[in-house]
Amino acid sequence: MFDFKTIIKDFPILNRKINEKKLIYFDNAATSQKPKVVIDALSNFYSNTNANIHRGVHTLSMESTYLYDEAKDKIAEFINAPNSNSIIFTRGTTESLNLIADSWGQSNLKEPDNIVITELEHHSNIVPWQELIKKTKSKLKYIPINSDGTLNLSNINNIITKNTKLVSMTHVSNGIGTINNIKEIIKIAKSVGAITIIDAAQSAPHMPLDVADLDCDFLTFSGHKMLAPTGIGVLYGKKEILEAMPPYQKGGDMILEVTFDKSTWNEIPFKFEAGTPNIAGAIGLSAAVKYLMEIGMQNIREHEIEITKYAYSNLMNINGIEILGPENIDIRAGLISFNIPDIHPHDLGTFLDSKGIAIRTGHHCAMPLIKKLGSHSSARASFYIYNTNQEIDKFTTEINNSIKYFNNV
Amino acid sequence: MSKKNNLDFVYKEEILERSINPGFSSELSKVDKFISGLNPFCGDEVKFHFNLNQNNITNIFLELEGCAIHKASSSLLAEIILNENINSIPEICDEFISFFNKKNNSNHKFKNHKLQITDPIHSVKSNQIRIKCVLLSWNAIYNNLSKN
Repeated sequence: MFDFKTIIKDFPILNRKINEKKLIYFDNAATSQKPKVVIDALSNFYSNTNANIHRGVHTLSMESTYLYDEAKDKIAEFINAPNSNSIIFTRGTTESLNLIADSWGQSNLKEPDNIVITELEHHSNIVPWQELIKKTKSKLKYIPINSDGTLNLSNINNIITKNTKLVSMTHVSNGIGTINNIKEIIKIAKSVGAITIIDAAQSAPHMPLDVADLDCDFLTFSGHKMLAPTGIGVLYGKKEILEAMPPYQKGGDMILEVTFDKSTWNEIPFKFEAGTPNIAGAIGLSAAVKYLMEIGMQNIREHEIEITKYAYSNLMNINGIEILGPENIDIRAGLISFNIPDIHPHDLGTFLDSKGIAIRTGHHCAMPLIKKLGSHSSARASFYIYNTNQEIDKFTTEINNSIKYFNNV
Repeated sequence: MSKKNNLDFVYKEEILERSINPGFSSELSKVDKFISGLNPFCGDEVKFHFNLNQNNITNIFLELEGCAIHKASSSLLAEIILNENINSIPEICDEFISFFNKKNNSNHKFKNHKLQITDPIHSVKSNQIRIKCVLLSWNAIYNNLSKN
C-alpha cells in the first residue's frame, strides 16, 4: 500500500499559511493543487524545449513534438484507450462536451430524436444540449434522481427509447459526489443504438478508468482537477465515430490540403486540434498522469474512501447537519456536500477560510440539482491524495466553532 | 468564544444581528412594484415587493435567500429607501455602489445622510470576494429604477 503521509512534501503550495494557519485544501473538486514534478515539467519545457509542434524540422520543434505526442500516449495508457489517435486535447471537459455537441450533434440529430442526460449533471453537460436541441429540433430528457442523490432507473426504459441517439452522463456528481453505475447505463444506451458520453471530470483524477471495459463512445476530463495545469483537457472518442465527424474549429494543423477554393481535413486526432495547442499544458498533464500512475489509481481511490468515511462519520455528529448525496461510501466519491442549520454556506466558507481551510460554497455549477434537493446552495469539502484524517479533525472542530460564532450573537 | 481577527472585521455584530432579523417580513396584500436580483455565481437571491403612493415607497416586503452579508445589506437598503420617491433611489444606490467599488475612502462622508447607517457593513470592502454579497440588492434596485 502506498504511503500517502509523505505526499504533502511534493506539493509546494501546501506549505503556505492562510490567515496565519496551515492551509487545509478541501476544494479539490474545483481544482487540484500541483506537485513539483508538474511545475518542473512546465518550467523545463519553457526553459529548454519550447517550440511549435508538428511543422518545424529543427531540434526544438522535434523535441516539443515528441513530448506532446508522448503525452497523448500516456493519456491513452491512463484510460486504456486502444491508441493515442483517439485522444484529442481540448481546453477541458467543457470544451470536450461542446466539441461533441457542435460536431457530432449538429450532423447527427433531427426530429424526433432525443438526448438523455441525468439530473446530476454539471452545467457543462446540460447547456450544450439545451442549445443543440434548439438547432436540431430534438428533445432533451433527464434520468431523475432519488432523494439520496442516486439515479432512479425504475423508468429507464421509457426514458432511453428507440428515439434516443445520445446518452451523456457524469461518472461522478461534482455537486454531491454520487458515483453512477455508468456501465449499466452504457449497456442500456447501446441496446437502442445510442451514442454514449461519460463526463469523467470528477472520476478521472480519483479512480481507475478503462474505456475499453466501459465501451463508451466518448469520455471527457480536465487536467487541472488531476494535478495538471489549467487549460488542458481530454476528449477520448472511438476512432470510427471521430473519423465520421466534421471538424469543430477550422484553421492550421487540422487541414490536409488547402487551396483558394476549398480545404480537406487532416486525419484524427489532428482534425480536431485546430491552431497551436496548449503544448506546455499537455506536457504538464503527462507529468501529472505519470505521477498518479506511480501512486496507482486504485490506491488513490482507497485512500479517498478512508478519508471520506472518516469525514462522513465525524460530520454526522454535528447537530442538525444535512449531508447531500448517498450514505454508502462505496458509491460516493471523496466529496461531501452539506448544510449547517442557520449558517449560510458562504458565511461558513468565510469562517473556515479565516482558519486556513478552503472549501467550496454555492451551487457548484449544478443549479438544477441543488434546487431539486431542496437547497439553494451547499458547502462542499472535496478531498485528494494529500488530505489526511488530521485535517478532517481540524475541519470538524472549526465547523463546530462556526456554529458557536454565528449563533452566539 | 473570543471574537477578534479578520472575521470580526467582516462580521460585525450589527451585521450578524441584522442578518438574523432583517425585518420587512410582512407580505403585502397587493404589490405595486416588484424587483428581484440573483447572483448566478453563488445563488444568492433577493425579491423586493413594494407598495407605492404617488411614487413614494410606503411599504416593503423583502424575500431573501443567501448569506448573512447579503441579508444584512438588503435590509439596510430597504430601511434607507422606505418612504423615498422611487425617482430619487437610483442616485442613493449609485452613491453607495460607487463608494463600495472605490478602493481607498476611509472616513467617507455620504452626500445622502441616510447612507450613514450602512457603516457596519463597510468593513466587507476588505474581502474582495464578498463585495458582491453587499452589492447584489443595490445593483438590482439601481438597474431596475435607473431605467425609468
